[in-house]
Amino acid sequence: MSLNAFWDFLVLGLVLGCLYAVIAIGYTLVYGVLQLLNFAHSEVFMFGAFGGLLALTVWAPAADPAGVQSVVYVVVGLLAGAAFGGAVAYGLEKVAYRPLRRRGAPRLVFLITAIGASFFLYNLAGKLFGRNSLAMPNLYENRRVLTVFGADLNITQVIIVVSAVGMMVGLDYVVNRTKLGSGIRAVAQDPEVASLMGVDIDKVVSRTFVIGGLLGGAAGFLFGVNNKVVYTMGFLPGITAFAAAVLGGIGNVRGAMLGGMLLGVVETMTVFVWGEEWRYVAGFAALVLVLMFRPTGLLGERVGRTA
Amino acid sequence: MSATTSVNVRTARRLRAERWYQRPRWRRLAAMVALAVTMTLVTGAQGSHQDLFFALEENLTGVALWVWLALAVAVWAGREFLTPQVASAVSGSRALASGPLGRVREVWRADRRVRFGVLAVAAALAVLVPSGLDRYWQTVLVDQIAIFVLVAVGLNVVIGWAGMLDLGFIAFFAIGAYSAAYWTGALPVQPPMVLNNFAVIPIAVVTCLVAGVLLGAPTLRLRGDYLAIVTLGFHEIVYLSAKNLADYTGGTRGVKVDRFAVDLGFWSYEWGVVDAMPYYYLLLAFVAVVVFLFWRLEHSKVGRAWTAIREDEVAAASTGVDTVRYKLMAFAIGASTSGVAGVAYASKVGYINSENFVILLSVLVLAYVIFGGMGSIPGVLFGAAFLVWLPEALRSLVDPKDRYMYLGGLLVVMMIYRPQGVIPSRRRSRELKLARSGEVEGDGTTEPAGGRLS
Amino acid sequence: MTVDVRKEEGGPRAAADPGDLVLDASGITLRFGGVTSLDGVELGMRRGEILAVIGPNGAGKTSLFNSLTGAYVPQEGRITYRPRAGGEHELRGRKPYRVNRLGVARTFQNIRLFSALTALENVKIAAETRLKAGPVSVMLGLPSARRAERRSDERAHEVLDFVGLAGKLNELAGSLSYGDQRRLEIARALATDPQVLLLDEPAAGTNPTEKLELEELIRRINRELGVSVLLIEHDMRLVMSVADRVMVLNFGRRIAEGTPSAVQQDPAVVQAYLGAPAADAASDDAAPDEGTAPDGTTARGGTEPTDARVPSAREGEDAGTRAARNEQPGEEPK
Repeated sequence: MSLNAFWDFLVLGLVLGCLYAVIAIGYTLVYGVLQLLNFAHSEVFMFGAFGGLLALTVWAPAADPAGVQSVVYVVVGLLAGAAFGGAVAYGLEKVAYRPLRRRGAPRLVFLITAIGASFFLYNLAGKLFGRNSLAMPNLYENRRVLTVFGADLNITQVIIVVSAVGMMVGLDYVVNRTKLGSGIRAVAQDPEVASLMGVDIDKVVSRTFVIGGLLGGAAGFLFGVNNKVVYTMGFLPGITAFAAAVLGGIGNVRGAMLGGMLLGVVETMTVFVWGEEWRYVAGFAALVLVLMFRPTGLLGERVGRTA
Repeated sequence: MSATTSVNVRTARRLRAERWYQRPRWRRLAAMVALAVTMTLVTGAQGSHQDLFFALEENLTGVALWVWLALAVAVWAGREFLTPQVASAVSGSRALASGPLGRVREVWRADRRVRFGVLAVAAALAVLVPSGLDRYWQTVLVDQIAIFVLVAVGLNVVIGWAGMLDLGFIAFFAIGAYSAAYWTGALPVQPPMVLNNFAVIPIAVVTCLVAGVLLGAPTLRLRGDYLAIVTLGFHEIVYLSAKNLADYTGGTRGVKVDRFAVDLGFWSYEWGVVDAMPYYYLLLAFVAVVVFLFWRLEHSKVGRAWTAIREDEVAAASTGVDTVRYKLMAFAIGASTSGVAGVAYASKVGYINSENFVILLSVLVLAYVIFGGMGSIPGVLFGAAFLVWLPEALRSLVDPKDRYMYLGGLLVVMMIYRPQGVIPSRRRSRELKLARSGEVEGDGTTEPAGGRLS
Repeated sequence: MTVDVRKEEGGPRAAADPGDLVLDASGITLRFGGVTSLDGVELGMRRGEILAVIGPNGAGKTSLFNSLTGAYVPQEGRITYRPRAGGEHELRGRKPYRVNRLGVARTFQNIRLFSALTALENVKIAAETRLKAGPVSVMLGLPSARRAERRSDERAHEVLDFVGLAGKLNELAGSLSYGDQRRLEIARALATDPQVLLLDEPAAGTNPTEKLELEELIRRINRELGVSVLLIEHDMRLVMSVADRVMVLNFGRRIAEGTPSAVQQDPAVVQAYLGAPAADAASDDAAPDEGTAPDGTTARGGTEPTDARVPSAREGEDAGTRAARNEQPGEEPK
């Protein structure tokens, strides 16, 4: 294939990688404070997409939105997605995980709960909104706006990159510069000491879930704009994003960003070389290989140390 | 010194558990109302993609919402204002039930003959009753219940005994099924020699053993939750390969597989297409043999070593237990059981395609094991049989597509209120009890996840 | 003068030959990130002796144990183990279960039993690691499997009898009293037929009576079973009365080694415990060992620092275990 196509795929991969990075942050944050794999995060992501879709259905965009109108729609979609994602993540923590935490349940119990919650949530979405895949309403006229190394970037991709990077910068600020962020880092490092120092652990955990949910939900909306919205859409991107979090070093926020980018590129390159039907094999294979050879990830584990 | 610390931890845990009841009443009311709304949505109308708000509108304006709300408020009020009465009623009924129940349990534990008697009756029922069922249920019994019971018994070794979360168990089932297809000459690629289905069983066992070891050897050193995700990935890889490599596997179109047949020259028998019962007896024999072998395993050196690893891997290793070897052993034994089930499935149904092995099934089998009671063979037998039977029985009442939603909800609720399962293993429930009181960390897979926080 | 009394008794226990080292470690250096936990520690353990390791908190005692038994892999150093049968084994970098099978068993500071199993099962698990019976022979009920089962049963009964838990075979490990749990842990270690037994604060959390029983048990393990014992203990009275020799660690270094009385007099030791060179302060301020009679009849010096130190020692251990969990087992900690 031509070099041109290669650049096209590389850029596509980076765009996809931005989304994976944002979702991966959700996994990594929760892992940081709870040492828990939140399998149900993929459903948070899916609900974010539905949130954006619902909001934009209510708002019923004009036939051919353009200019400021388009920007407003996208922002509304993002906010609605984030709100849905945050709400689902909050409820999930409160209903499913908190009782277990109270009891000091073993990890296996957490994992099974997470799987159960994931099943419940995505099938509930299927029940509430039907099981067909849906397209987002037209928010703008999608056209080519940029050319990078001969690869075309359309508006959707620009929106994805801009909002994803914006969210990542914002999150980095929250984790490193705010009081909540220092609470999160403290709990990640040593929950007992943190609670002795007056950190309200329940609150920190709950807010960590919400932050992860906000990001995941917004990413869900962006994913929905790019692809379609359907109740099963969470699973594969979720797993891939999880792989990204592990790849970067689970618990490590910047690692999750790096891992997401890498996996996005690996995935589109797989499609480039072997074809669409092998798309998700790349993510899994990468995950297995990483875990075998460098289980602590590229940048090492733990929110507390490196974020 | 540390005795006092652990007492403090325990007290702290109990207090935290009860904090919920020290909060303002309206919070609990709000929770109940939220539950009622959720239940309305869960049991309500099926949504439609043409009108996204259809289900929401329908459910939240219907009568069902009010019924659920009334129920929720009634429960709340009962709990808040009638606590002593409710408590005494509960304890009263518990006392009533515990008298006879306790006696039954005593007899059960004390007398071997009772246990054998009950087992014999159960076995007789298992042999005799199905022949009286109608054809539909016979098919369900064989194609689904018997097969999945076998798979669940295998998964129980991995998760219930060795404490490893395997989310890709159906991958081995698929490997077994495709082995059967390959060695009986059903696949587009031809084997070096065509074998009888029965002869494939040992081959499938070995294939799955090898696959299990190949997957397990590098990953079993990982933390439990990583193992879960790696096995999930493994499943997807197997599934996608089965689907995409249609030139070798038949892909989604599928392939026809021969059925079981015996030909010893002087005597031959063929398991037919129409009648399910011969398959049933065959599978029953499989299950019985596997259960017997595993029962021995559980009460042996191997079973004890697994328990030790599950409880405290560090202590087990420094006591001389080769933890990796035992984990690998559990993995391989489970995998090969699943492989046998795969062979049986392919040979019974006579047709397989890649869609028989979706990831959903791996999670379902996990649900069966957990529902019945991890680590307890009777529990797992019951859990698999019941949970496979239930959706079939509810087919007319509940939309079959919704059943995974209920299953998911069931898992969450089980983990909160009865993590040990319906018929728990004694060791497991002890472990969970100890974990609850803060005595030990509970579960090998590991350390408590969020538990450290309290 | 407990030490003397013991020597008069003689018994099967051969006098420890200074040249015959069962465990010979040199230059063990263990680092966690930037923290150096052990800094070129030397350890020479004679066959058949009871050697105590003492030192203030965070001195690296438990890290030393973990390095000897394979739980941690020190970055530098050699750990040579010479079993009675002859030959030499390098223990550094060996997996914990291998170390155990070679004949070096241990107990844990924070008791780690299989709490949901009975006392008997706990010990059987240990005894069985020495017996050959694969899953196939077990499933098929072959004679070899049955023999192994019977033998492990006998062995477990024997060991439990030895430590005095014969009456509590079928009680759950988690429901035993603290002192019994300590003894059960020792029994579990003994069931693996060790030549070297590492006891990590066996007396922590036990009451005075249990302490005396424990002291007796350690002696019996040493004399009747001929097991060399390496002991970490904060209770100085116990250390002084039971140990043949004492080694003192501070800040990951060996600062003294010798007979209990010699170590007690060592100014470096006094300084390590008090943090000040002033000799007169030592006579006053509850130096754990200072001024007490060698047979340890004055309990004051022993108990007080024990109580003061155990909790923080425990935290140290927990942090250590946590650090260890983040590392891959069998890999070098980074």
